Amino acid sequence: MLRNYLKIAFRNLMRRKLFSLINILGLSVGIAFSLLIGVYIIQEKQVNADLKNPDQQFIVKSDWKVKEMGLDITTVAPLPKAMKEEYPHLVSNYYRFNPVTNVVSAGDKHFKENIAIGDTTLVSMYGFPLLHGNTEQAFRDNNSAVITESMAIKLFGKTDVLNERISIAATTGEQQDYLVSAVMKDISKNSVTGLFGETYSVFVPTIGNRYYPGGDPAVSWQSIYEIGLLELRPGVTPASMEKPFEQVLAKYADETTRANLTVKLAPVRDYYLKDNNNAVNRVIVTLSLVALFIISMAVINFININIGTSTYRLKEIGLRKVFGGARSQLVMQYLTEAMVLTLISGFLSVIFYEALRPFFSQVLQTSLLPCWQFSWVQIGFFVLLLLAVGLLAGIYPALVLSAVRISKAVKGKMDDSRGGMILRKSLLVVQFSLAILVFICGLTISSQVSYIFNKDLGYNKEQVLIVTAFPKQWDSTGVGRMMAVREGLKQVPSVKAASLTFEIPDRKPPNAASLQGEGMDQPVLIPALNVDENFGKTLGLNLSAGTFFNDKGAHIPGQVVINESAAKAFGWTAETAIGKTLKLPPSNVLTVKGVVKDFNYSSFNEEIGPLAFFHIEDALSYRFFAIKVVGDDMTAAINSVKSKWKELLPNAPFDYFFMDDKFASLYASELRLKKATSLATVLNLFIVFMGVFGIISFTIARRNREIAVRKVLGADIKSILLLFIKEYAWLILLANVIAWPLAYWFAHQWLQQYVYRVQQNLTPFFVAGLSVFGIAVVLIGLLSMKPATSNPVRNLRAE
Amino acid sequence: MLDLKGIYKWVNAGNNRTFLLKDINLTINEGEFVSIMGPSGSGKSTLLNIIGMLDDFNEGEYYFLHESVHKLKEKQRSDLYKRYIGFVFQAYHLIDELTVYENIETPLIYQGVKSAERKALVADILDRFQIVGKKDLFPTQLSGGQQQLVGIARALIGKPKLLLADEPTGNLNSAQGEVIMQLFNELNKEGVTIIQVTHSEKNAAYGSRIINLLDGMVQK
Ligand SMILES: Nc1ncnc2c1ncn2[C@@H]1O[C@H](COP(=O)(O)OP(=O)(O)O)[C@@H](O)[C@H]1O
Ligand SMILES: [Mg+2]
Repeated sequence: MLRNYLKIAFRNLMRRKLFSLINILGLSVGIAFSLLIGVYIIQEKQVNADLKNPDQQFIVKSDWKVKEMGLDITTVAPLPKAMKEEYPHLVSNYYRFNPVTNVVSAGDKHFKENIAIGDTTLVSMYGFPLLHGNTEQAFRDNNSAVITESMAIKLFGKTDVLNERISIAATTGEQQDYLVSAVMKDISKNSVTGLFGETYSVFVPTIGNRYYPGGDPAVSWQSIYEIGLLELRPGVTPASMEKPFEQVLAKYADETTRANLTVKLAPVRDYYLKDNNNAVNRVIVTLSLVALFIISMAVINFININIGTSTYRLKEIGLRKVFGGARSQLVMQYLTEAMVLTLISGFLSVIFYEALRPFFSQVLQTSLLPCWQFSWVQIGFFVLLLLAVGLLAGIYPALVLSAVRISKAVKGKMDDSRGGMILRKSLLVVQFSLAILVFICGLTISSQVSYIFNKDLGYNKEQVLIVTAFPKQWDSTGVGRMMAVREGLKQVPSVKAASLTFEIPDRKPPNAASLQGEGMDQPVLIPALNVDENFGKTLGLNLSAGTFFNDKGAHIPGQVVINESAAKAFGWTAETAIGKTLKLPPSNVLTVKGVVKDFNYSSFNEEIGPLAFFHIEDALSYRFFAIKVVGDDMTAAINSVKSKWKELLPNAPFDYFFMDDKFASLYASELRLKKATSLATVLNLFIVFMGVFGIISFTIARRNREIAVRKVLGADIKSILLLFIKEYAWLILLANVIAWPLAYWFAHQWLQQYVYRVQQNLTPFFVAGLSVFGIAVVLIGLLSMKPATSNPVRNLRAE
Repeated sequence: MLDLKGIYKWVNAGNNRTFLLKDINLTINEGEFVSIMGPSGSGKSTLLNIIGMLDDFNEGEYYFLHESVHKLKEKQRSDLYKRYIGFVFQAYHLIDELTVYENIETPLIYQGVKSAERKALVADILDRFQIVGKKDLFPTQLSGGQQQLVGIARALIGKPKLLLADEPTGNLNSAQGEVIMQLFNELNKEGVTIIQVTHSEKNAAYGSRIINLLDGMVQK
């Protein structure tokens, strides 16, 4: 029986090649897109699943009463360790690290790397696989380092590097040497070694560490910038840890910390998905919706075309019934046809998947699994998807067509041709609505993205080169040497300005200072950044009043520059602020030297707030040189800066990026979303119009006689085109009426996350609505041109 | 009214040229009622379509109301037949999706007649053909004879000077056919020139002249 079904199914597919082609193309594009998104989602959900005991791993986060008091992702350094010692029945393990970036060297090789100065529990707690070394005791002693596979290759050209010597530059201006005691296999994305989206490649013990002048950074209850992770005993919930945390803080922490800090535990398992305001989850939801839209489009096409062309088959159905075919057999026949078609599309979609994989991997910034590496679970999902699509597409036509009464069927007339028409048109309206909806949302995303990239930021990100300032010797000698390097760099002809700084405008400065303005009775916490007097000039900040520190002569200690918001927070105007004093505990008094206009120092999701600039020669810490270069030939400019750098600092790597690239990277997810929605818009339109193409071609084929009669009665080409266009114009109009409010709502929701955002206007709505209408008109025009211009006599004779 | 001079029509099938019409010379005056007869396949419909300007010919000259049809462009020709010619078909060719009223109204829409005037004209003709009661029905709800009446009403709504009818009674029984022929007779008396194709001697007798076709040629 099945063989018979299959035989007939293939014959029917072959006989109606155009419609089979439309169905297969639409379905395979839809399935391929779903497959790409599906694999992406599975991979993203899999992040952190490979860690040992993933459901017992937690990140210790901080909820400060005043946001500026600390970071939410870091904790009080000794806290995790104390928790394990005081509550061994609740906490089974802890790992802490202090994240730094500095030069790692082996012999004459120097690289800028992310280094985790942390506990030696790293490997045993998370079960990271080792290529070399002892899993039980990955760190032999406090002079041991664990490095990743690719780090080993980078430094030594091989992975078997146990007992090789590496040295790490410290902020004291010294080097600390370590012997490699274990090499970790390169690990997939996870929230332990890749917590901020950065990858850590070198791990050294915190005990005995000399990176900071004070030694081990994890012992002081005052230091609050340590990453802390805990492994809880099975069955222990984060809620049950609240009291223990309070008790430990009460026992060890100082008054301010106790009063302002609430400790939170965030599961590592889904941290990646939920981090950053649910960023990954949001992408997943958006893409799933888009995939769902696209596949529904393809399924609707299938249903529409099948019912629309069924008149060709009514005779066959009638005859089958006359000769005793049961209804269930007819249903099976139709379902088989739908399944065969879906399977062919599924096969094609795998080819599309492979063809589109590189592009999607790039857009989604991940590497999607090639299809030959799919797990059984993934293959299972894929097969389920195909079955579901086949069933969805096939069941309705199967039921409708098999229910047609014999007498009508034999005559080739549908029972309720008007009912069928309404269904077909409603489905078309659904399709058009979805296409327009995605189109409008895509346009809104594009306009927000271009707003982000074109808004006046209050500083100039163009042609600013950021070079990591090595060595990081954070004392007056170190700063003095860097200032000399800065002067050297300024001598390069293409360098217009250069500045030594701790911050660049890519985040809200994590350190806040408690400043009390002249005449105020309360201090306020204001994010502070350490920069030199050239910072304003290099980044093109606009001064409202005063000068940017002492920009014409030697450094004068005790000066501060603030932004307009800060002036306002102290109750001053830009002009009155100049010369006022700010008290900074314990006993510093700073004089306001300048006020700059507010600028976007962090992403558009965050409102511009008060900001204070401290001079680097007072604060004694730095990370970057910002270098403003001029001229059209950037490559030449970089090369001349680089050769000067090599001359000034022969042992420091020249590690640089551009400020505008850094800025763009803040909006990676927006750019990703923009690409994804543009692609979805194109795919949607492609599928919808393929469906419309199919439907119009068979309606026109059926209405050939009518067109001929109308021509004989005096209709010209224009009025015949209008006849068809009018039919679809109504549907498109209706689709716009449905899609516009939805699109407005979606776009509104999405835009809410930005403090600085575009106002929605009617342009995207009209662009989307009119383009869809325009394409429809062109398509209808092309298709109905033939019958509209051909000789009516022929079509009348064919009757 | 119209003049055909040396009309030839052929089709090329492979290397063979098949003649559908050969050297047709024909003059038809205003007010005539002409019947074209001949065996099936002799080219009657082809000739009628050429006269109605629905089909081209390959050679010869055709004058209609002193216009040289063979020199006119498509658009001008269609303007010409829209204004002066009405068609009646054996298979009625009503538009199934439109009501009786809408079917009859269609040619007026294409002639650009204003809505109020259309209403009046259609009402008149419905009245005259006594089909007012059927105006909201769809063609499939009518008998063959009624459908042909609607077909003729539609052909006449634009007040044509020439009515072309290709086997108008071919699908009807003789009583229904009789009604149609009576109607043609009346119309002719009112001044409409009529050319009909028919197989029936009896129907042909209603006309004033008979033209016999055989193998695409007029028999003398
Ligand atoms: N476009 C055409 N191509 C080929 N043959 C045609 C075409 N039009 C008509 N014929 C043929 O020409 C002949 C005359 O057709 P027609 O005028 O319809 O005959 P009648 O109306 O007298 O029965 C027929 O044999 C028909 O098959
Ligand atoms: Mg004929």
